[in-house]
Amino acid sequence: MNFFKRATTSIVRRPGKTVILLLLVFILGTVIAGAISVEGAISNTDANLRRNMQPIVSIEMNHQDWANTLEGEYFDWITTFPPHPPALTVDHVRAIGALDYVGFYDYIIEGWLQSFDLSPYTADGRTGFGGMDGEPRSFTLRGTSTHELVQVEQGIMEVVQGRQFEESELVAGGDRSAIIVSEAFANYNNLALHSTITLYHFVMFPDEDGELWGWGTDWWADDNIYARVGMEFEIIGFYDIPLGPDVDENHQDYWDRVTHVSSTMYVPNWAIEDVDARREAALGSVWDAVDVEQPEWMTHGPEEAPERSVTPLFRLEDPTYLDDFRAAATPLLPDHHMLVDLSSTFDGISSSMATLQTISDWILYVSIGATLLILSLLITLFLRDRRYEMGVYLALGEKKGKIITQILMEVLVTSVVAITLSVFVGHLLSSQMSRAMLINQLQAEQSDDHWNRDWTIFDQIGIPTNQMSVDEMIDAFEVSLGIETVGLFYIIGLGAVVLSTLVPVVYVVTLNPKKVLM
Amino acid sequence: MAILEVVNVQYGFQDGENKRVILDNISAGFEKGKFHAILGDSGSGKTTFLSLISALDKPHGGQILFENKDINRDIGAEKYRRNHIGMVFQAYNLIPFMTAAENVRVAMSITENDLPADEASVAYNLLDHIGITRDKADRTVNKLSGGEQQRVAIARALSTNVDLILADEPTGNLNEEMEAEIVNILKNLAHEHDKCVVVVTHSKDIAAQADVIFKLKGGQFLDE
Repeated sequence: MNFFKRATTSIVRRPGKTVILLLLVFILGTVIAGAISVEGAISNTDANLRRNMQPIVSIEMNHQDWANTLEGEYFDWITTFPPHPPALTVDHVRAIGALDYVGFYDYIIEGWLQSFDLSPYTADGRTGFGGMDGEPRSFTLRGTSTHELVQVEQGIMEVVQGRQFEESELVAGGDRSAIIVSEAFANYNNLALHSTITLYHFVMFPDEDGELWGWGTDWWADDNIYARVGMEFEIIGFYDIPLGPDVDENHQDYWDRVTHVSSTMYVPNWAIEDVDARREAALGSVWDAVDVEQPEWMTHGPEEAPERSVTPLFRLEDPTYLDDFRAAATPLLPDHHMLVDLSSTFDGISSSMATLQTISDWILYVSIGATLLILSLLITLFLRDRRYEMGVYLALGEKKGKIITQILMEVLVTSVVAITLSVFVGHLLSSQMSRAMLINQLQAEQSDDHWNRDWTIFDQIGIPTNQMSVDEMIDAFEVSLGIETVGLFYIIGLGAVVLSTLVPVVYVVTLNPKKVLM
Repeated sequence: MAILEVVNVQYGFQDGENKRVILDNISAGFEKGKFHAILGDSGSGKTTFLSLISALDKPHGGQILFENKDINRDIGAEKYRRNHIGMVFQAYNLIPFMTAAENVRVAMSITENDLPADEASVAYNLLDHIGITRDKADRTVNKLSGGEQQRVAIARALSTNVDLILADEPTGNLNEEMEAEIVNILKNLAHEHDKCVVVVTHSKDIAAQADVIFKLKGGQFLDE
């Protein structure tokens, strides 16, 4: 009849008290289990979302911060001009790209060129897209500094024919560059691999008012063109943007495709820089070739030309590196710039989950506090009821440590049963409730329609930002009974029970058997 | 030769500004094979005396020696209670949700004395010997009569194979018939089983059956 047998006998022979303890621990345990389950679910969901999220980071100007620095200063834009904001240069990008967290980086220079001979592809077969007859069509050129386009590396588009850039093609030089165009554009314009196309900046003679811009067939007449600043491009590859089976015309992806296919071409950065530099030179010299006086406003401006900013793109080795990468990269940024990442598109669901997490945190803390208080009182009352029994053990010479162990075992055996039951019940209840709460919050936040979302720097460089539906977000909300969740619950639940037994144990330690028994 | 010796024991307590002396420098010896009675009126200090020799309390002066060792200093109160004495209380003090046999086995599991391995058989035999049948031995104790419960308490005291049995008013809650039976059992333990039995009582009838009587009055033993 050792203390273990005494404990089990006590549990079995005093069913009323055992059931009361069991029910109490079960109820409190269910609340704790529910709160822990939600905590685990939020953690799981965050991991799921991060897995879905491309770990891509860029840098953009913090315009608000820049505006704040200029606040209170006055510029008339004739004699006084605001300073150029610090530029994000290739050197900045390379320094940040050298961090260990970065698996791949690129910087993108964007430009545009025109052609009278080529037409943009339109998915719906419309003609005249991008200009009237007799006018040149404009095409977006997106530069790269690497031999593997980030859009391809991220699976956003694929090279369906030909190849990407070779290292030698990325090095500046010559008057001919490689180019990758969309397959649809190539087909539309009857272009094959290794065809060459020439794209231009057309620098026009100014009109009598000094205007360099105009429209209509007359304006674009041959004799009105002062210079054709162009570059010849050899097509080395065709790309396509795979779309999901459920994409329709009302979906952003469709229009993204139209935009990309109709106007975007991929070239080395140097080609854009080269042709832009030559255009600037032509714009400077055109006034010497005409009798028109350059308008006064054109001659004003800051004395120093701004450095050319680039749009960088960093793909991290692992999505979980994001916080560490931010900490390491921030000191390397030029002033008034900030890091932006694709996770910012999850702000909506993040705030919903943060609300849920705050609620579950409070439930957890309050329920643990309630468990400690209520169980302490209950066990103390039970032990006061058993003071003669405790007195007998002490009078028989039982060691206090064994009596305490017996009490602990009685409480723990009952509690383990209650906690085991509450794991499943708490998990079931919390998964239903938390999912319902999350759906409500997400639906409220998704009321803004798709077209009203912010246009981000990632859209600008051809990396579509997240467009998860509420259903997809809910699918990512994973309330699972993992070993960690269950283990954490047992540790917290049994820990609370053990702590609750400490106060009653003091009662046993201070019990005087003489006073109880004689 | 005395197995238990009480040497110049003092005990008292502060009652406001007054100091109340309960036991005033008393000495006594208790031998194996004898039935001892501590006789005294209510408030005479006989229960205090029993609490001291059972190491449930400590004397404020003097010594209590068991086999010439101080029970508090040399043996240790807890160990003394565990291995050297068996106690019988007026209110039985059995564990109510356990059977008679289980109550006996509790004491057997606590002691460090050498006991037969088959704890259950020993408990049943002991109870049977003392008048508790097997059927009653398996009942929870609150289903037994007062006399039966006190027999169980005596069996528990004997179960640890100790030489010293201490009883506090063991028949206080029993009728005369039961009282006689319990006293006979205690006398028998002393005379037939060579135990040293010390019974605290206010009953002169019980004291009259003892081999040695210590009459406690005014904090001292009177000559008998």
